[in-house]
Amino acid sequence: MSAKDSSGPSAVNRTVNNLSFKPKITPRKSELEDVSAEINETTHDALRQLANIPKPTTPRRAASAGPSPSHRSARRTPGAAQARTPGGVTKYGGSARKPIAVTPHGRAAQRELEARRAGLTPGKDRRKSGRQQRETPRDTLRTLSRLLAPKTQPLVQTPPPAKPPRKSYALPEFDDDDDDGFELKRPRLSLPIGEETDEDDDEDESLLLPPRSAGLEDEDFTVQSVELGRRARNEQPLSRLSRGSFGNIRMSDRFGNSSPFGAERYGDDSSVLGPTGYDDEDMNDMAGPPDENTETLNLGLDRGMLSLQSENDDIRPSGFTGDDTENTFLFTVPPREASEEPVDEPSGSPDLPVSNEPEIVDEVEIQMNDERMDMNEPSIIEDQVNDVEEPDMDEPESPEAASSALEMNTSIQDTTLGDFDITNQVRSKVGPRKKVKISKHGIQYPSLPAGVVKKLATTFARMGGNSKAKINKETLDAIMQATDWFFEQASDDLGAYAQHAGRKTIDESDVVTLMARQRQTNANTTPFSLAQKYLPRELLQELRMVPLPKLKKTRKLPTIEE
Amino acid sequence: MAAGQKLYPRATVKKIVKAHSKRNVTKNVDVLIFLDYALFLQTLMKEAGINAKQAGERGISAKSVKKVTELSLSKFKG
Repeated sequence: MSAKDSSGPSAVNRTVNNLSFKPKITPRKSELEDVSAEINETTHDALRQLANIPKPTTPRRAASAGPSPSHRSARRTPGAAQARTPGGVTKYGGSARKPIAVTPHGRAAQRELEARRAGLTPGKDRRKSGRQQRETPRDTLRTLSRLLAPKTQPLVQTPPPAKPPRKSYALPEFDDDDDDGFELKRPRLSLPIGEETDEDDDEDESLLLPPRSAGLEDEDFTVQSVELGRRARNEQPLSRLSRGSFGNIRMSDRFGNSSPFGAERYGDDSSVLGPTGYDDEDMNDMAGPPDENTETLNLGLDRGMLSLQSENDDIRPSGFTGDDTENTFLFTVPPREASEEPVDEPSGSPDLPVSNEPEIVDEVEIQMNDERMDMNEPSIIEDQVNDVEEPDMDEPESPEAASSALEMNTSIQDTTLGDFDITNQVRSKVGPRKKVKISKHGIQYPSLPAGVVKKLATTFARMGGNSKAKINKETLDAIMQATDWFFEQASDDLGAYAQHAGRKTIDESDVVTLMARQRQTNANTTPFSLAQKYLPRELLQELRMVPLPKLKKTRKLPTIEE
Repeated sequence: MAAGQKLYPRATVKKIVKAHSKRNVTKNVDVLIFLDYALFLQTLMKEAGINAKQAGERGISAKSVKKVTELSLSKFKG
């Protein structure tokens, strides 16, 4: 109780001397008060004064405090206790400012470390002085650090101000997108920043960054902005629909896609190939009764295209005279004009069906603009009507109907617009797909029936080793496309061979030559052996005729050469 | 190899070739042409099968066929 009484006046005085005395008298509360006193005075003074505190104070205080094990060691070894007094000072300072932070256990650990150091060295006095000198700056630093501890966080904040300079670096490189890219790299920056100055870091990283970011930017921009879009529009239709080698691919595609024909004729083509004589008359018939706008448009377009080509064909002296097909085309011309009038009326509304499909509208519009731009120029008409040449165009028209020039223009417009319809149909892959196509010569042709192709392809796929190979519809479509291309290619080659031989007709010899050039036949493999392998007997029997025609061929050559 | 009552419509083949070449076709040429086509299709399917296997597909997909089409066609260029 007496201790408490004395504690009262000590609190009132709060002098340094009291500080030194109080610990002797009062156990705990005096400590707290001392703490407040220390805080009021400068930490440095307090530290010095605490360093002067006599040794017995710590044991008593510790004893009153109770649990702290440190006082025992202090009692046992007086020398060690002297050595520890500075440690006690640290204790005071630490306990005063952060009583909670430094646990008694932690203090004990520190003291033991110090004691060990002291014990190792023989000269204790020197140690004392040395220690005090050493520890005082340390302690001051500790106290400073503890005082500054709350303020250290703002140091962490410094990196964010450093970021804006990076942005300034990013800006010259280019766009806002760069910032996004930098976010990933920020964490790297933060680590070195604490030690070094921000500017240096920025410079270093900026040196590293620009090449990386530049590469990324280039790739992104090129890919996203321009080139993909263009390619997609220009190349895809061509690559998908037709072989690159022939310019006329669009032609065939257009006509093939004209849905009404395909749908109506489908049955005929697969079995009998309805239009035996030639397709043109059928075309005209079809064109005659226009039911709906779209159909009439397509019909009209097709008819117009055919008529143009047929005219060209007529004019051309070269390949023409002998073929039956040509004659039929001639017949088609007059009915065209008759039928064209009904076609022209609906021609005003071609845009509507095009606009019906929202997906393609953009591309269609672009093409629309381009082609409309070019509409007036005849040269572009050539492109669309591939084989047509300008003089050919003009000549047939003038004798037939000079008055129908306007109609021709309209029909041409129809064809241009019709392109869009057809492309739309192709893209959407509407059901009746290219049952009837038109070759670059303007001749309609069917494609091999899908059933036959599928059966054949399945057998071949199974030959390949996959016994259960099945061909789904998409695969079959791809195969059909390949089939069409193959026949187009092979027929061109055959025609070229025949022409080179001066023949009007394609002969067995041409096919044999073709197969030899394809490396399908060689000294060991004759076409006949291949036929035996791949063809059924009925066809084989027909093939047996081959060698004879070959002999005949040589005789025929001179005769056929006009 | 390919069995069946009617292997292929002869008239159709004739018509296709006629349309593309703008030339007449002698009587039995279509058989040879179809033979050539069969060879082509065999090549195509073989290549497609290989491609499909490389791609890890179970059957032959349209994609693999399309990839192989170009190559097969170039093989059969006369």
